[in-house]
Amino acid sequence: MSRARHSRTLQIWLSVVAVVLLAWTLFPVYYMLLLSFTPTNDLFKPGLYVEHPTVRNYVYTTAQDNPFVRYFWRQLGNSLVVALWAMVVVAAVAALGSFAMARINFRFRRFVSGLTLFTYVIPSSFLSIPFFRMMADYDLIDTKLALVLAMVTFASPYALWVLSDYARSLPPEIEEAGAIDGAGTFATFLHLYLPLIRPPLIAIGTYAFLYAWNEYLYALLLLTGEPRIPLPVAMGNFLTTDNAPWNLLMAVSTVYSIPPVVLYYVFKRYLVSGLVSGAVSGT
Amino acid sequence: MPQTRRSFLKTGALAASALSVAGVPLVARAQGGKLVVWWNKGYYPEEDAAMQKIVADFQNKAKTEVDLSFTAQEDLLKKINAALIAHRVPDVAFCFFNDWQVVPKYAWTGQLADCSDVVGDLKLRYNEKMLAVAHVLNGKTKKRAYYGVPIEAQTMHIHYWRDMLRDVGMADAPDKIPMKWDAYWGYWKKAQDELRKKDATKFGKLYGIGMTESTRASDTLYNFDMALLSHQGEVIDADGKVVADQAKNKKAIVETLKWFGELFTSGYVPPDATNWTDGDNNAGFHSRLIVMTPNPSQSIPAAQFFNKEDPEKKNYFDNMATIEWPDGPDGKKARYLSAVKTIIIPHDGKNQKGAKDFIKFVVEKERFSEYIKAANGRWFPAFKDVADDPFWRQGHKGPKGQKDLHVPVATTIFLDRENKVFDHWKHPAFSQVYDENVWGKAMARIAIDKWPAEKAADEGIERVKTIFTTFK
Amino acid sequence: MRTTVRGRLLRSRTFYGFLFTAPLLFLFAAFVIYPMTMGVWYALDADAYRALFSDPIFRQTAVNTLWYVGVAVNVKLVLALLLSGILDYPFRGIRLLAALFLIPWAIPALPGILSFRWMLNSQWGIFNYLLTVLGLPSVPWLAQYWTALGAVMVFHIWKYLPFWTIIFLAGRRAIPNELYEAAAIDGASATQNFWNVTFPLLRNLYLICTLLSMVFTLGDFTVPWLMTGGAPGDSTHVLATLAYRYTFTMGRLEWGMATFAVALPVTLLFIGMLLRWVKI
Repeated sequence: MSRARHSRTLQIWLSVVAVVLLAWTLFPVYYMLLLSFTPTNDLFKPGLYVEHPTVRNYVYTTAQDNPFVRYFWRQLGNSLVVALWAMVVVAAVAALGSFAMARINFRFRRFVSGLTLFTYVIPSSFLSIPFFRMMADYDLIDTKLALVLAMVTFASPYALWVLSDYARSLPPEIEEAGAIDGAGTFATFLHLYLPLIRPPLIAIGTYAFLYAWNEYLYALLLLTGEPRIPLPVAMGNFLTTDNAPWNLLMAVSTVYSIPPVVLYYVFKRYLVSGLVSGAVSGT
Repeated sequence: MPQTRRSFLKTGALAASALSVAGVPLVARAQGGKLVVWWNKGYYPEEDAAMQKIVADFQNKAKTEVDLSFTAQEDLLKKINAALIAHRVPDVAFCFFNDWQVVPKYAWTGQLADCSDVVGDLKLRYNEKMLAVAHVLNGKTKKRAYYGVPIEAQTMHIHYWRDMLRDVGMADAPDKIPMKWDAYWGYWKKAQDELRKKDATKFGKLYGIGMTESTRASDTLYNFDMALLSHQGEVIDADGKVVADQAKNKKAIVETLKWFGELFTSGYVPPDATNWTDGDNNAGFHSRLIVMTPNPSQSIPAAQFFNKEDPEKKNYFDNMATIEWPDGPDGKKARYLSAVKTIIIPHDGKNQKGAKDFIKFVVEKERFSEYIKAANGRWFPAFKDVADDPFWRQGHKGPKGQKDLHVPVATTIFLDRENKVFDHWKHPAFSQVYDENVWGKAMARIAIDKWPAEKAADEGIERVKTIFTTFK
Repeated sequence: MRTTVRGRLLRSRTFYGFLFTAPLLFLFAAFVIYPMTMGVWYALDADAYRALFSDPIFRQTAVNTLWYVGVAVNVKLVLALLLSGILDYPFRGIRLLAALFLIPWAIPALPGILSFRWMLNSQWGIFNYLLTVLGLPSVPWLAQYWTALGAVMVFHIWKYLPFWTIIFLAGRRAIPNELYEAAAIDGASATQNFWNVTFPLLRNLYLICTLLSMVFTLGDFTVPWLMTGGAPGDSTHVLATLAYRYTFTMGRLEWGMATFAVALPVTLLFIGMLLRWVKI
C-alpha cells in the first residue's frame, strides 16, 4: 500500500496498539520464563518479577535429578527423532507428489487434489481412535514408526499444496531442457526440479518438523511408557500427579520451546512466503 | 528407460533401509515363556527399585524373561483400556486405578482371567475385608469370581498443619481436635478466620478446608462416599441394586450434597476446588495455602518425608499431623472406605500360568514387605502377615526421637476401625458411575450452577439409574 | 495392435503421474481412508447414539463446541484481518511487533497452556494477584463455566492469530497497488479504501480461511483438554475431549466414535464447500 505521509496521530495510535499487542503476545512467554527461574519455595508467591532467581530448575532438568525429569534427555531425543523423520519423509513425499501434480498432466490429478484437500481439512482428532486401533492391529503401538506415519500423513497435504503451487509457477522449459539432454523423467525430477523448489521445500520441511514436534494427541495415544514418550506427553503427565514441581515443568517447557522458536527465526523468510503462497493463490 | 529403472531401484532400497532404521517394531507382547508386565510407576524411586529387584529375582528363579515397564497411573489406565479394546494385552497389569476402573468393567465383558486359584492359595494371609474388591460379576457366566489379586489399600486421611494452629493459639495435638461432626468442620473454619485475622497479607489467600469437589479428581469420589456414609446413606445395596432413590437414602444424598455445597460457598474452601485434579489439593497443602485437606492416601506426609529441602523432616514430624474422619452428624463413629489396589491378568494374555506364578512371587511376605515399605506408608498391605510388621504401628522415628503421627493413624483405621471396600465390586455399572464422577457433577451443579440440592441429587440419582440399565 | 503415439504418451503420463504420487496415495489409502472407514463402521452402533443423547454431558459438550468454534474462530479472523492491515506501517513499534508477533504460533501449545493455567490459578495466579492489588475481588477463572470456556477461547486466539494474520497480510500484498492509487486519486479515506478495495478482493480468502479454521477448531483436542480437561464438573468438554474420555478413560470405543460421527455431517459439508473453491 502506498502512503503519502503518516499523520502524528496515526503514529501515536499505532504505537499504542503495538505496545498493547506486544504485551498480549509476550506476557505468557515472559511468565513461563519467570516461573522457570523461580525457586521452589517462592513458587506460590505470585509476582511480576522473581526475587531470588535461580537456575537450579534447569540444572535439575538437564541432570535429570528429579523423578519427574528422570528421562528428560530420552524424551527430548524422542521428540527430535520423530520430528526429523517426519521432516524428511514429508519433504520426499511432497516433492515427488508435487512434481506430478504441477508438471505432469495425468488423468486422475483432480482426484488426488481432492483427496489431498480432504486429508488436510479433516481434523486429525477425528481419525485418532481408529488410527490407534489400526496401529494396535499392526502391533505398532509404542513405536516411533507409528507416530512418524501419523505425522507424515497429516503434514503432507499442506506440504503438497505449497510445493505444487510453487512448482506451477516454474517455467515449462524445464521438461523441455531435460528432454533435449535425453534425460528421463526421474533424472529431470532429481537434477532439474528438486534444485528449483528448494525455497518452499525448506519451508515445508520446517513446517513438518514443527508439526511433529508440537503434536500432542497422537503422541499421547501411540507412545506410552516413560522412556518412549516425547516431551509434550511427559509434560502433560506432570499435570495429573501429586505435588508436581511447576517451576521444573516451566524449565522443561522453555527447553521444549527453544527449537521451534529458533527454527522459526532461522527459516522465517522461507516459512512465511512458502506457507502463504498456497493459501493465497489457491483461491 | 534404463536410467529410470536404476534410479527407481536406488530410491526403493533407500526407502526400505529407512523403514528398518525408523524402528520396525520388536513385538513386546507375550510369546510363550516370556512375561510382559505393566506396572504402575511408584511415587518414589525406591518403590520402582524394589519392584525391579523383585523382577530380577523372579527371572533368576523361574528362568523366565520378564519385560517390565513402569508407567504413571493416568497414562497406564489409558494404556490398559486401549490394550483391552484392541485385544493386544500384556500378561500382568498393575495400575492404581484397576480396582474401580478396570476390574468391574472388564470382568463383566469376560476380558479378565479368573484368579480365584491364586486368591484361594493366599486366602489365609488376606485381610478379609479387602478381598471383596476383586469378587466381581462376569456378565457372560453371570457368576462372581475373583478377577484380580488385591495387594495394597488406601483410605481416607485428614492432614493438617499443626504449626498453623499453634500460630493462632488453637490446640494442635491430634487428640485435642474435636471429633463431633459440626465442631470438627467448624474447627478448621475457625482456624482460617483466626489466621486471616492475624495476618491479612500473609494469609489473605489461605483457606481452612481443602475439600476437592471436582469432576476431574478421584478424590471427589472418596470425599462424597465418606460423607454419604457419615449421613447414613447408600447408593447400592449388597446385591448391587440401586437403592439411592429410596426415601432414606435420597434424604441422605440430598443432605450430603447440601453439606458439600454449603462448604464450598461458605468461603472456607478454595474456589478452584471444583477444578482440581488429584494433585491440586496436595499442591495447595504443601504450599501452605490450605490448613487441612482430606486425601485418600498417605502421599502428602510421604512427600514431606522425602522433601530434600527439609533434611530434618520438621514438616513430617513437628509441623504436620494426620487425624481421622470425624463422627457423623448423628454421633456415630466414622465408617471408612478403602480402595484396594489390584493386579489383573488379561484373559487374552499368552502366558497366564506364568503371570499367576509371577504374582504369587511378588506377594511373598519378605519381598512384598520390602516393596510396600519402600512406598513409605502410602499404601497399607492387604496381607495380615505383612501388616504385622512393627513398622505399621510405629511408623518412622524422628531425628529427635519424635513419634510418627501419620503411618500409625492409617494402621489404626485399617485394623481397628470399621471399614469396607468401595461399592464398585458389587456391579460393573457402579464403576461407570465413578468414571463419570456423577457426584462430582452434582456438587458442581450446586456450587457453580446454584441448583438446589434436591434437583442436583435427582439428576445424579437418575443418571445412576440410567447407567445401571445399560448394563443388562 | 498398433498403439498410437498419443496413446503411448497418455499411458506414460498416467504411469508417471501414478508413480510420483504413489507414496502420497499409499499414505492416504492406508492412514486416512482405512481409518475413516473403520471409524464409520464403529460409529454405526445405534446403542452408542442412544447413550450419547441421553447423557447430559454430551448435550452440553455439543453446545460448548458450537460456542468455541463460533466465537474463537470469528473473533480471531476479524482480529487477524485488522492486524494484517497494521503490520505494513514502517513505524518502529510496528516493526518490532512484526518481528515478534509470530512467537505464540512458534511456541508449542503445551507450554503456552501450562503458562496460562498457572497464571489463571485462583490462589497463586498472577491475574488474581493483580486484581487483589487493585482492590478487586479474585475471580476463580478455571472453576467457572464461562471463564473456563473463555480461557480456552482466549488461548486459541492467542496462539493462532499470528498465523492467520500472515495469511491475510500476504493476501493484502497480492492486491495490486494501482487499485489504491486509483482510489487515492478519487480522494478515498482509509476506511473507504478498506471497504471498496481491500475487502472485496480478500473476501474469498477470508471465507476460505473461515471454513478451514472452523473445521480445525471443531476437532481441536489439545487446547481444551489441557486447559480445563472438562472441568468444572465436565461442563467444558468439546467433542474431541469427550470422545477421548469415552474411549480411553471409560473404555467405550463406540461412544467415542459416535461422538466424532456427530460432527461429521457439518465437517463434510465444509470440506465439500472448500473442495469447490480451492484447488491444489
